[in-house]
Amino acid sequence: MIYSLPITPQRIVRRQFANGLTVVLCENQASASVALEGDILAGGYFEQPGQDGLANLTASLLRRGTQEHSFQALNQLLDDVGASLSASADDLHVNISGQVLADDLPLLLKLLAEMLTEPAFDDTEFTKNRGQVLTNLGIYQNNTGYRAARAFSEALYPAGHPYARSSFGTLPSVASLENKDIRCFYKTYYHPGTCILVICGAVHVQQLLGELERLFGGWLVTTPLPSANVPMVATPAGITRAEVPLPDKSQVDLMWGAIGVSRLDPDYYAARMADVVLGRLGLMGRLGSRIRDELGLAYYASSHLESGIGPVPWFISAGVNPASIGRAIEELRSLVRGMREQPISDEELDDCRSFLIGSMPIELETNVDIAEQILSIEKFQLGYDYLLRYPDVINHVTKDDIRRVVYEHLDPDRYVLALSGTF
Amino acid sequence: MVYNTGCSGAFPKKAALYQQAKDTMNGNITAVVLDNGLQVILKEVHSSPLISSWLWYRVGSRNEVEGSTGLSHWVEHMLFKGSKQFPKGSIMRLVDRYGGETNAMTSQDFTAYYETLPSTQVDLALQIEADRMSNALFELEEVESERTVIIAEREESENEPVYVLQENLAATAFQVHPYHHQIVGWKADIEHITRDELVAHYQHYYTPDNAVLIIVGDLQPAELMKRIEGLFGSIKPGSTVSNRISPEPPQRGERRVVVRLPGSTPIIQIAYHTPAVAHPDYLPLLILNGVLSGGSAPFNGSGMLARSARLYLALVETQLASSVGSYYHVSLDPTLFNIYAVVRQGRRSDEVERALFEQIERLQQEQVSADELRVAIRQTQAQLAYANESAARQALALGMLTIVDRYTRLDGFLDELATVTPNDVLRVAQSYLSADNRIVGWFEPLPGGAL
Repeated sequence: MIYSLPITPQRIVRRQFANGLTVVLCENQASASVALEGDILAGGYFEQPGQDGLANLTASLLRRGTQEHSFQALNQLLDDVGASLSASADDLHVNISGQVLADDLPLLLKLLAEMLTEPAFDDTEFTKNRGQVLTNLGIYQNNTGYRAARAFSEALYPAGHPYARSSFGTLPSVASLENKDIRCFYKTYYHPGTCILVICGAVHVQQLLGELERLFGGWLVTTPLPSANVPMVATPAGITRAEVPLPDKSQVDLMWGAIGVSRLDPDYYAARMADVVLGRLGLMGRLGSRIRDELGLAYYASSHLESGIGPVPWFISAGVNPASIGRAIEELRSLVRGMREQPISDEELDDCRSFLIGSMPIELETNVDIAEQILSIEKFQLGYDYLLRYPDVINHVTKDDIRRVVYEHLDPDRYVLALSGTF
Repeated sequence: MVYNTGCSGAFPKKAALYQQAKDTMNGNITAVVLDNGLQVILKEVHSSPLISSWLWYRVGSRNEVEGSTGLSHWVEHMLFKGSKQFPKGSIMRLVDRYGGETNAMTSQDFTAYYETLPSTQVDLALQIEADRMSNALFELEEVESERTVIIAEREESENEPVYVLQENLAATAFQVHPYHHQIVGWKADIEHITRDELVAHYQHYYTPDNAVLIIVGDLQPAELMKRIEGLFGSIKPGSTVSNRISPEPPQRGERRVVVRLPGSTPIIQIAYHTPAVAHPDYLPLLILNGVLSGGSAPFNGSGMLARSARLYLALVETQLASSVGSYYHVSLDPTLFNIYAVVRQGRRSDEVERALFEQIERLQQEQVSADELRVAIRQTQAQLAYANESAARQALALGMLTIVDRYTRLDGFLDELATVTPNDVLRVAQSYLSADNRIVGWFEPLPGGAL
């Protein structure tokens, strides 16, 4: 068959309503379902000191009742048709996700409109939800992966930086939150002008546009339009080692890294390709090849470049036996040194390019995949010809670009290392 | 090609969607058995320019004995460590080169290898699987380096109390049947298994007459069958695979297991011995599972958390538990039906256990409502539709069902579910969810866990 990209300027319908809310629609009649992905600029960035977790709790409470439907009524309506609808928050954004059979989309949209424009923030639901978060936070405190990740972020970013905080909050911060904080946060930061809704699936877009305008066009607020300017952070000046001992753990989780490259930076693509070579290509790239395949030191060892705005982290993570910690750290430092000192091979460059370009059909197979990709394009303002341009962008990144970006961001002698487990 | 032309307006009609969900499940299938016994199932789906190729072997942890547990999983790892035509590391590298995905999975009942690739590269998937069906190298050095990788994989799981509880619960539930041990195997066995044992296991089970090749996607069956015949047809069948696995004797009274580790949050898991997929009571139990916690498409690996289902209402909404759920394994042999709850801060395990038992007793005392039955089926239908957007998930369902029963059952799966009556659900609840047939597991956090 001849492949036609699902995301092109011709296939996408984008509208901004008078209240600033943006909708992006993509018709795909190849399946019986519809995926919805949404975004609002109302994440942890906007929390006041000591209120860590407020943004996430606010987002999750949207789903726990509206002026028209109680939490249980919402559950009943959505469960009856096998639909899902949820909201959560990260450092900057509220993420909304939904999935539904196409004929039940009107129901899903009506309930989403209620959630966004007239949430109940009922006291009982607040208490129930906060208790669940506290129980989960208790579980996370004994999770080596979570603790290593927290220690890494807290060591990499200065106190108070939005990327230093956990979107789940802490036990004391969540325990201190009150329902009035939720109401205030919602009132101040939920604004249609920062809201994007993406819908992909078995829909007829022109009719859907009218329905969306009817449901969301009347969402009006008088508060200022929120905006975020994430403070920059210098790369580590030396070595910072943070250890979180936990008793009776078989494995130590480690995170090693520094400040990465913003999604909006022209170097992003070179960094992404470096990350693929270092920790993704084949069996977890050079890291997997050396640390797992050759030395048998870990079941997983991979790298990860966050796709976000500002000073995002770029890190290597691995799970190792306590006896192998030193060896694993030396090996990963050596691999980073190699990426800085020598250009990647021609074969690696070719493989990386063909992987990134060739994986598009798999990454765009389902409605959820397509909707997520559209949301990313919209959030980072990449343009709906992005996927058409993408092969050229990737093919123009050179080995020198890749070496330079690693040199500028990852240094085997200047990094943050976080460990959690039984040492 | 699945294309919904029967709709009008912004939203297609229910009937059309229902028919489409059924067609997508099992339409356009070509099924052939080669002379050497290899079963081949091809399914045309032309919605994306992809194929997902899965080779399934009828071997898993159920085919292992104490002392050498974890063999099947270790063999799976070794099949990425070099074969005659594909040196170590080359399989993943080649698949990545075309933007594809590859991996493998070992379960209690099967081991499966898959490649999802652009449809123009289907031959690569076939070459990989044909070669490693009989030409894996098992070099000693690679066996040894993989030993520590597998121990690390196990240690990663051991870090989680829920894994330790699950392992202890299964070992308590199954005293004779090999579902007693986890797929990764006991640590002491992993430390001592030899290369010779791995090779013997591989040679015994990795034969065409013990395998099923399933390809779903943008394919031309006639052309593809010729190529499959060319690559796999000359591989010799094996000796008849021994399948003497002792059944688990009936349990004659409640069993309990307690796991104590540093932590902060108690967990309760309750399991009941229940029949395998091929048994007529599987479907009523699947509906029962939906009524408790939400409908699922088990062969596609899909499920949902229904917050209007009984367990959530009785335990989370009452603030006894922070999360709750149930699941019913897809299995070849009789298995366990599980319910679990994470105890909410400030509540006690015995309160939560009591609340879980009350929900079971309710199922045994009164029929589920017609509405609950309808919702469980509708949820399953939705889960099927979501999963069927992916060629890999369709191949997963075809393969899993072929291993544990027969893939043709997918054809009428929703219709079969619709035949289940409230009385069937009542009957299976009374038959299987009895106190004498249950195993209760508690994770009790010890002081010293972080808070």
